[in-house]
Amino acid sequence: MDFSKIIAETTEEIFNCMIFIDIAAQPPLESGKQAMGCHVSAMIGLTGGISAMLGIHCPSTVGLAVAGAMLGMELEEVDADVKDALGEIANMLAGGIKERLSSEDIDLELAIPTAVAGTSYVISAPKGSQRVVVPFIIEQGRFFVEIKYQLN
Amino acid sequence: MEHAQHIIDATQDIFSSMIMLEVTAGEPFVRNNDKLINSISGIIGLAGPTKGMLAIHMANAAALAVTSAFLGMEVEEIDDDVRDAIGELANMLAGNMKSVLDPGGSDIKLSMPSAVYGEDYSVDCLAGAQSVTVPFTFDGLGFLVELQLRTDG
Amino acid sequence: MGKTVLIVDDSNTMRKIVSRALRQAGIDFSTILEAGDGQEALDVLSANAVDVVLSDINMPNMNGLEFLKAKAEIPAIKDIPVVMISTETGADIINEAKSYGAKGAIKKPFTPELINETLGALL
Repeated sequence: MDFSKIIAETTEEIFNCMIFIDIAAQPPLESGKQAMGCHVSAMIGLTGGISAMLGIHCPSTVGLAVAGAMLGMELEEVDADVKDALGEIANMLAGGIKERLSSEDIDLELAIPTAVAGTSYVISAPKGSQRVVVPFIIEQGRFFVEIKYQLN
Repeated sequence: MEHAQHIIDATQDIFSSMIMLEVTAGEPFVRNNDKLINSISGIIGLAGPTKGMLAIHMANAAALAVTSAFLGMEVEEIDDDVRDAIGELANMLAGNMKSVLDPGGSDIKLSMPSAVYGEDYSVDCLAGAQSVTVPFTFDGLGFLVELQLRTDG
Repeated sequence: MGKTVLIVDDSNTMRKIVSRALRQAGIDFSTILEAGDGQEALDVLSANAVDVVLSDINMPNMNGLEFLKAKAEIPAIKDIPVVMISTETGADIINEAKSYGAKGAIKKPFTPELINETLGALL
């Protein structure tokens, strides 16, 4: 379960297929560090061989650029379209992780995506859970793909 | 709205047995993704043939009172203990409702709880699920328990 | 002459994403119709001449598999080809969809090229 590699591959695959924005994965954040400065997130639960929460976290400008490219339209504010598009990305990321882990004999089922948006919020995970956060750079700035998990 | 009674039963059960608080249920409604101000939300995903999410939304004052009663110690700020307690509360509520909604035990699996907290945020569920929210009050404070479910085929 | 395609998905955003991918796939679609679930899709198919359907599997009310079954019972529309789109697509669900008449399946994330290839073969 090399989550930083799995996240980088899955995210790049989704961006190459469906969003057509050049992205570059950066090294994962040091353990304990969280994504900062984000104003729109989509997250989705996974459970089975591990119990996990997968999230994508974006500053507003990055969320608008990614969702706009995915939908093929100009977006100006973080509205339902932006949240839905990020939710769809979270769903596909979780699907990619499920597929990759099934080849390691870890079965997973997906919940449904939830969006969090606002000027000021933090998302925490239970004590004792592991966290891997991979930053990606696009022209407008950075976004973060994060998985928090516990072994079942 | 069919799940409102399940929410009420599970919430009153957990609060009276684990937190020693009697909570009063209000009228169920469909939450409009309104902004949450100075609040904390415990959220847990439900996976399997029946998918969804369960969330408990509390203003900070209610979260501090609930956590203090839950942990049996005075808690004064939204710290790790509060975040874990509210996440765990979502987990227990989901577990209790699962036993009613899925007595066979194979249809709904719980994922990992998260806590979202901050001065100003909204929490929306995205995938066209059925949603119902029940407001609760205790000692002049209040909180919301929200259940979103969809069954695919 | 341009073809007519029907996109069936409960997410309005996903329908926009699929429309965008269809435009980029280089197939000459003159009309892109949308439906939010299987029942709406049956209504659209009965009222319009549709060349091909792209349908989600997981939807409320009438899901993609139920839609395939219901469509197969209606002589006027039963031969319109349907391609399923899904994220979490296990082989068993795809086989089940094919047993109800689906002509193919596209897994998300998908490229415009994959859409072109899959739909091109049916048009």
